[in-house]
Amino acid sequence: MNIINIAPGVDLLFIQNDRFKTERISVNFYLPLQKDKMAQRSLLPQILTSESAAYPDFTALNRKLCSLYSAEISGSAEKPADFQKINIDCCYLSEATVGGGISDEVLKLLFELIFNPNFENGVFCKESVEREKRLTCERIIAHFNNKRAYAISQIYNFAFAGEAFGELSTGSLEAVKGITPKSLTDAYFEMLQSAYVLIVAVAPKLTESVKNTFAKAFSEIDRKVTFIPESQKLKAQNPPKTLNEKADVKQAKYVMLFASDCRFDNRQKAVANIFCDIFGGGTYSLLFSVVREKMNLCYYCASRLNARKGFLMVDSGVDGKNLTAAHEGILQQLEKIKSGDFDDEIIEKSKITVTSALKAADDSSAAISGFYSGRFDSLITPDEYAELINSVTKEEVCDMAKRFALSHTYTLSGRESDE
Amino acid sequence: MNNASKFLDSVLKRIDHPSGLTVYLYKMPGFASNYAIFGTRYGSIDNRFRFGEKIIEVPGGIAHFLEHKMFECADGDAFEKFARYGAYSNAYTSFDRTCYLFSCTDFFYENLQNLLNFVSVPYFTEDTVKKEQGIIGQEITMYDDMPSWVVFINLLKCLYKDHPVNIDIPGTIESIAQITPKLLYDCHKTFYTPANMFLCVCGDFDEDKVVDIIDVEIKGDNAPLPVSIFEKESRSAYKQSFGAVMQVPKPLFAFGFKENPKLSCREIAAKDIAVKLISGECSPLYKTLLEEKLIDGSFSGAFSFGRGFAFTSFEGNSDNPQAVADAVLGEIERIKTDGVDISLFEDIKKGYVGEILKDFDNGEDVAAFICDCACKGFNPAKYIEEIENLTGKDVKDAIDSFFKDAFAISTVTAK
Repeated sequence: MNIINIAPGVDLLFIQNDRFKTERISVNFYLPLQKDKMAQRSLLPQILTSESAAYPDFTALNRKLCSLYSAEISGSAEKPADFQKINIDCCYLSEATVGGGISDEVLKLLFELIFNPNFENGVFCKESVEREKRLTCERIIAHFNNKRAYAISQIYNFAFAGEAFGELSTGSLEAVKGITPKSLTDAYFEMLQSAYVLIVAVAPKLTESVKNTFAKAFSEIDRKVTFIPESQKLKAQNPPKTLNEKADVKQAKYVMLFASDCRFDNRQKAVANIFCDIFGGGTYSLLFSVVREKMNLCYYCASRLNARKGFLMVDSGVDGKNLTAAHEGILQQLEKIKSGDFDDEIIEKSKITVTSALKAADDSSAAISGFYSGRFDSLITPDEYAELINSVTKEEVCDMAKRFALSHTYTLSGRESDE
Repeated sequence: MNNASKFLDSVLKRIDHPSGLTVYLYKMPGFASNYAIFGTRYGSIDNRFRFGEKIIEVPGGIAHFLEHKMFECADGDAFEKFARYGAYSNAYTSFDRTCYLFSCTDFFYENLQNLLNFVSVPYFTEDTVKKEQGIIGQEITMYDDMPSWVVFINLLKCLYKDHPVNIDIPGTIESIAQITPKLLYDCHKTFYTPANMFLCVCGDFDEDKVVDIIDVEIKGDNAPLPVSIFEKESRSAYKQSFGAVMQVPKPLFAFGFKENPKLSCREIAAKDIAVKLISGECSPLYKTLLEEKLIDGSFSGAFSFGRGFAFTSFEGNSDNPQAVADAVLGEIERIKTDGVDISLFEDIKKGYVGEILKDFDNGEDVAAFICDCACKGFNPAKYIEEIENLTGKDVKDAIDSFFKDAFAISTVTAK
């Protein structure tokens, strides 16, 4: 792994790849998740990638990117656990594909967007801040239209009440409305000064200009990085806590959270990864093959793991009259895994599928960048992780399943049609 | 890069297999994953067609239903076989096509054989059809809860009086209740004939081995090409507007123009660019709409084209859908009068070629692009060549063809 420290708290990970027609530079800022700051920090990647001092008009910037063969510079903010990852991602057709000094031009633009924002009197331009605030508020308001995503955000809000993790990744509507040019500017400088930064470059070669440009820019900032990526685990609840909501929906959404006391190192993550996959991952999983296909209880029913926050989530789309049966059917599958009452073949299928996905990650610069930026604090290569996956035993999977207990459920159902 | 079409021509191989199947091979040296998509030019619009001497009409949603049922084989589940070989598999049905796909890093040839085999050999029983009616019934209710889908399909109901593009792809609970194993066999026999199908393979594979597998699995059946019957449609929209009411936090809109369904490859390329020129993220209109707070990040425009239908649509959320529609109509009239901004047009054209080229790093994206071209009936390299050769006049002609009577608007507003 070719990782170099280029400034205090700034690492550059270079992944050599000459198979792609594109090159990618992804700049990731990691900061603690704080309720009073998450809205500002979430807005930062939006405003930084929409304009700059040299391109104060967002359509002019869009047009410039278009003229560079649709070079993309996009921003996003995530809350993977009790920290925020702010990402500025840049992908463009490679020098070898289109030539004409495109790499240098895009790098210059990326640098301009991150380090030379559109300020007015020392703070972000008021008009631009208001525009980006409005767009984020509209997104929050429209969130209800995607019932599956809405149901997931509702259970997070319920299970992590009081914690920043329970909020939408954008921050609440009220918090977004309260952002001012000054508070956004403060958040910007705080990000530059105190975030841990991981830059992932996927290209045929690491040019001196990439290394030097970022090294120089960060070295000129008085940086004090204190960030430690620790997260509070979901607390188990006995009996489980339940929240029901009614709306005009024809298909009910049912979400369950299972808490675990496990501390996940890479080895434990691999075991939990296989457990989650055979529970509700691929088409061979028990939730798909039994709850959906045999019992016909759900249209979709899938599980996902958040090892950092110590929980596994199952979300499903269910006919309202089948909610109780679906609940029981899902728990039965978990019990089957705990007691080892499943075919050994499922584990083999799962290992092949998961390792295949890891190998495939090497075929996409976005997947490569996503893989490493998600594991920034315990870097491991896809091959090393695949080895861990292949060594998982059935006994370990059963033991892992035993460490998860139902803690919260959430139901969004129709006003009249449910049980 | 001035010759993206020549590049594509040099890396994409087309084989006209003796069975009638059209095969596209895109080699991606050094890539670990392989991707294949096996499709038929059969979608939700093909519900009235020639079957032998007769013309038969089948229930709405049957193409999508058939897609679900194809995974069930006499000797087990196709998903199961893919899983054994570590492949991710899936399928989808749209208005004019049904596609089955997989991606994998190992056992590529075994997975390819499985794909070609299970799609070619139908197996349906009364019991399994009945079970599927329950699963798809749940899928239909899920779509009913999606206002963005409801507003879009209602636009098509406004634009089209008789063409089945105005029918929901999965059908309705009532229509799928009429589906029987016999009807599924009839549809399979008619539309899953090699001459009506295409296969696209992307990755680092041995071409000869791929062809050997096709030779074994796909036999020519000398079946005639399927003929779907569509009523002749007026060029004007059937209805000017339709409003639905749902529990939504903000109104949604979809508006657009019914278009001439008989367009050349070049005219289609011009339509694609025209939409970007009118309302894309580089356009002056996009800026105005955002600044006037009429649209948000959900706004988009697209040109869609298939057998017997074509339309340009604009969708999004807005407190004032009519004002957005008026602004788009106004911009179209402005371009009709003032002409195309050539410098903006050139940047958009360059950007569009770049967008397509970037897809060539990803087997799934390349295959989707190739399938789209195959369904529309043109060569992928030819499509890029047409984009490269487009002139401002082509795009101006594409914009001049929008006319008032072909326009309709659909909205979903809060209760």
